[in-house]
Amino acid sequence: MKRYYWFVPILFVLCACGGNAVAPALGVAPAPHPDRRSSWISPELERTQAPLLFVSDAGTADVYIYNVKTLKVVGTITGFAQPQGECSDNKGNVWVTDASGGTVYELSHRGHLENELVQKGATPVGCTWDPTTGNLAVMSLLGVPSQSGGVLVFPKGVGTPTLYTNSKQYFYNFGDYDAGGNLFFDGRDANGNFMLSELPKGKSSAHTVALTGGTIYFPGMVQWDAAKQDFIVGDQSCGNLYASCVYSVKIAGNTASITGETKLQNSAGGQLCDLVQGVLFNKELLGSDNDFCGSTPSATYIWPYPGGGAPTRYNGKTDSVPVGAAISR
Amino acid sequence: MSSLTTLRVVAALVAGGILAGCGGGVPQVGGPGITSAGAPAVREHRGESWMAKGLKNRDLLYVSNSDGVVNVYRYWQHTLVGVLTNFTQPVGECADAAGNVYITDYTAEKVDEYAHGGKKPIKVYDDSPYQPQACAVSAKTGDLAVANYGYYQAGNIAVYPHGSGSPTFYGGTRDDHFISCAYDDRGDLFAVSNAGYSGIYYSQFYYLPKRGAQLVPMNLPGPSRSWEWRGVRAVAWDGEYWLVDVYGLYRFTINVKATYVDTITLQGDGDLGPVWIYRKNLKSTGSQVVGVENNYGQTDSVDFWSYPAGGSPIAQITKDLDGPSGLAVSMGTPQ
Amino acid sequence: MMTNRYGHLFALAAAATMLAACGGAPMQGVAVPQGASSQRRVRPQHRSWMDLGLAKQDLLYVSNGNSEVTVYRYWQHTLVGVLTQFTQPKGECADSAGNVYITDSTAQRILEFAHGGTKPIKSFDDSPDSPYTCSIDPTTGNLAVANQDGTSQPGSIAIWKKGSSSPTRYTDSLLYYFEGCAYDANGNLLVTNGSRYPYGTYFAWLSKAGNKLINITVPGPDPSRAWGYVQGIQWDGKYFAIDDYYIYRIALIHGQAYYVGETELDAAGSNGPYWIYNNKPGTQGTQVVGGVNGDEDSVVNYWHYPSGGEPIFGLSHGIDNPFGVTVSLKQQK
Repeated sequence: MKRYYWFVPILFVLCACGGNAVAPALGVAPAPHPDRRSSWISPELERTQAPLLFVSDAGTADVYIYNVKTLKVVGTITGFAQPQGECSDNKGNVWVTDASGGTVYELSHRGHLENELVQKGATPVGCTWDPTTGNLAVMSLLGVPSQSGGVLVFPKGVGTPTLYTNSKQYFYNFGDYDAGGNLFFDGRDANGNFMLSELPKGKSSAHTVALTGGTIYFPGMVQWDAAKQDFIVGDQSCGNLYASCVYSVKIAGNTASITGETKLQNSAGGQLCDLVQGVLFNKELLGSDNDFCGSTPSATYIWPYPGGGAPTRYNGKTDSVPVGAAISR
Repeated sequence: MSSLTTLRVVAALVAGGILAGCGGGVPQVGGPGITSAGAPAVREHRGESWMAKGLKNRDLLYVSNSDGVVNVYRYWQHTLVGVLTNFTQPVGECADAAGNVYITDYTAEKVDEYAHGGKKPIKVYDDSPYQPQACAVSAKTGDLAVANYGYYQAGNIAVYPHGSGSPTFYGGTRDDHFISCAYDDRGDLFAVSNAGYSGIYYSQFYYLPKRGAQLVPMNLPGPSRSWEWRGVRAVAWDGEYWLVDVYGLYRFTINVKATYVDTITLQGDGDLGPVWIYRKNLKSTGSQVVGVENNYGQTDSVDFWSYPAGGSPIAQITKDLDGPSGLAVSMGTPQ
Repeated sequence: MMTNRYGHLFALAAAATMLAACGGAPMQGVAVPQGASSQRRVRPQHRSWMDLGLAKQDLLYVSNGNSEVTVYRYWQHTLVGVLTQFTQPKGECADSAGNVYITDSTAQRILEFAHGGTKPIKSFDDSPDSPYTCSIDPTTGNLAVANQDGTSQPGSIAIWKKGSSSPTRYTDSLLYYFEGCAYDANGNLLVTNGSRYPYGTYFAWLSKAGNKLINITVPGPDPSRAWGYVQGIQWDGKYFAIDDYYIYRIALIHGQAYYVGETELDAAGSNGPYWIYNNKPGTQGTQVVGGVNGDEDSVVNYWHYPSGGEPIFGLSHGIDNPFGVTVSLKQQK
């Protein structure tokens, strides 16, 4: 048997590159190219009522479904082109934006495809569901070719969308509705400067909201925190470095004030390289670190919120280029 | 012949002539009901519909023929127990969970719904101005999806919501002529069209997820790298996998993208046409597959195979068939 | 005057063309010449020369298959110099000071020339790698070189920090070798293997703060379209421009690559990377130039950018199986 040992690593490499393996490979981060395997939905995922964390991965073009409590992968949905930010409703459905496909996919709690919203010429990277109307707002980073992006609102999450813009904004990233159904979203202007905008309920265009009390360098997550009646806004270039943190932002009229900062650590106790999108759930912040800085493997984390600091748990065995995060209840 | 009948026959002859011309004299693959070169699609049919009694608990196999009639057989015994004649050009068929059978009448631009073992239609769906070639009923919602070929224009998928006569039309992204569609148990729809004619039709697949508002074009990988889909006859659902029927059965899963699973060989003489998967109930997967075999100029048949094993047929019907084009099984016990 | 220089070298040029073809596109089973000594062709016996008074001229440098780098006034298209210090010159790049860097694949080095200079002011030793293209980091002046060593050994990205004489090398097992690289305005580097039969075209990037190449999926105009034969990457002032016969613009934002648009180029070549002319930093370039090898002739075409379309000019005298091009902008002092 000794002479066959050289065989094994070669077989493993071949299988990892798109063979017919069903369950995710253990222990080795997948090579960052599109996953050719079919979707895997575990028996646990078929049955579970527990909350799940959906993480989109632009490296493998997969969505990984984690059990929130254990952070174990219970499903892998394959077949995307360039999955980006995500959002969810209160029925367990998760929308996954796919930038190069110009598509937003709706997945059920069990990871089944429920709907595809296709919008040619859009580059969807973020979305949010409005509990007051059931509408789905999708942030398109850019328009193709060579145009600014915008917000596409799909009535009840289906059918033909309406486009809304802030004429001063070029790149559109993440957003969320406040309790009154007003949509707040972030992004950048044509010169690359961070912007925050508001599309008030019922209005036909969005306007800029001035940010005070600090500087955000690169638009990250935007989520309404109902408990504190303010927004969590992420900065993917915290302190103008390749580092990520999140801020509490209070809205008053046309002004947004930074009232607090939450610093987040990676598994080595250092700064996160890039938390693209986090999601607040049950007094915890969940999300992934896309570590292209090279200090730690990319991983999915859970931190206490608003305390931040060291993660309470994490899984660094699966992610390649993790981007979006959403909770399915 | 009455003038109306003459008109029908002439129209059919013209239709047959034109279609045969398109295919260069060779039967046009996927075309509506054309099974022999140049032969008219519709012949004068004789007599009234008839149906034996006592069929309530019997699984029934309905087969549409080019001579304008639909034969009804006992599925397991293969005996002819009825003939429905009130059609112009019946092509495709489907059945719902209650055992009702839907028969597309291509030239008459309508779909007739019959009760299990019934002699007269219980409902008629007006599909004009389109030419319906095939259909499927959603076990989840009862919606009827009709694959419209579109002889005079591009085709579409028309979905009649359960119990309603007003359909929603879903078009493709190419010059599509839809030839088949199928529902899974969750209400997702899978369809295939003849598209992009340039000497030969390519087969284009579409997917409509259960809440979708538009048909999404799907690229299906083949069993080999440079595989091209041409001449697909039908798509189907076996309870676990989607099937693509083109001279054999190719199985897929679809969740965001399509993944090829395997190929099932169905041996037989002639060209395999549309198939039907026999499923005992919604909790089980298919245990048999029955399909039309067109043996141009020779004996046409309807063959039965074990599923998913495939291989040699386990049974065959040849009696009373005339250019069979579509089939469906109406279960004896309601689902 | 032109025929004096070239007429008697016709046979050598033909031999050079064949060798250039072997060393350019990677082919299975064909070894790329490794040592500078093993396959050195007989050098032409004439010396480098350059007109004087070119400080205020934009200059176009072209690497030719006959081992010469020919230099032209960019706008007037006149030949103003020839550099002969090369065995197999390939990709080229320039920095904001007008210095020109020319890779020599067989000699395994990169030579740096001042704007309009005939003698190299610096030589970067790239052995044991064979350099293919290069790019200068506008934020630091660092030199990045894409190395393509064929199938005999993995290639690398070699980066010389400004002022240093030995590089840091980065490898990537998915790309294996490297045929294109370019820095954006922020010092992030995007690289590609061009294409690697039968595995495909892959991309990776090195963030300004990063210490390793990270693989990245770069989308094209639609998800079903795969990259064909990528010849190079440039920075066009606003976006990365991927040369895959046409030009496809990509926004690389925080490690995610987004498709922005394309430029169709008629009469384009599939040999060597383009160069985008841009004399206003912070804005998008206005022209694109690139070598075209036809069956009968060689030419360097100019097109409007980003509109593309028909070439607005074809430069042919002194052009002999062109590969890389670069533009050294006139000096402002």
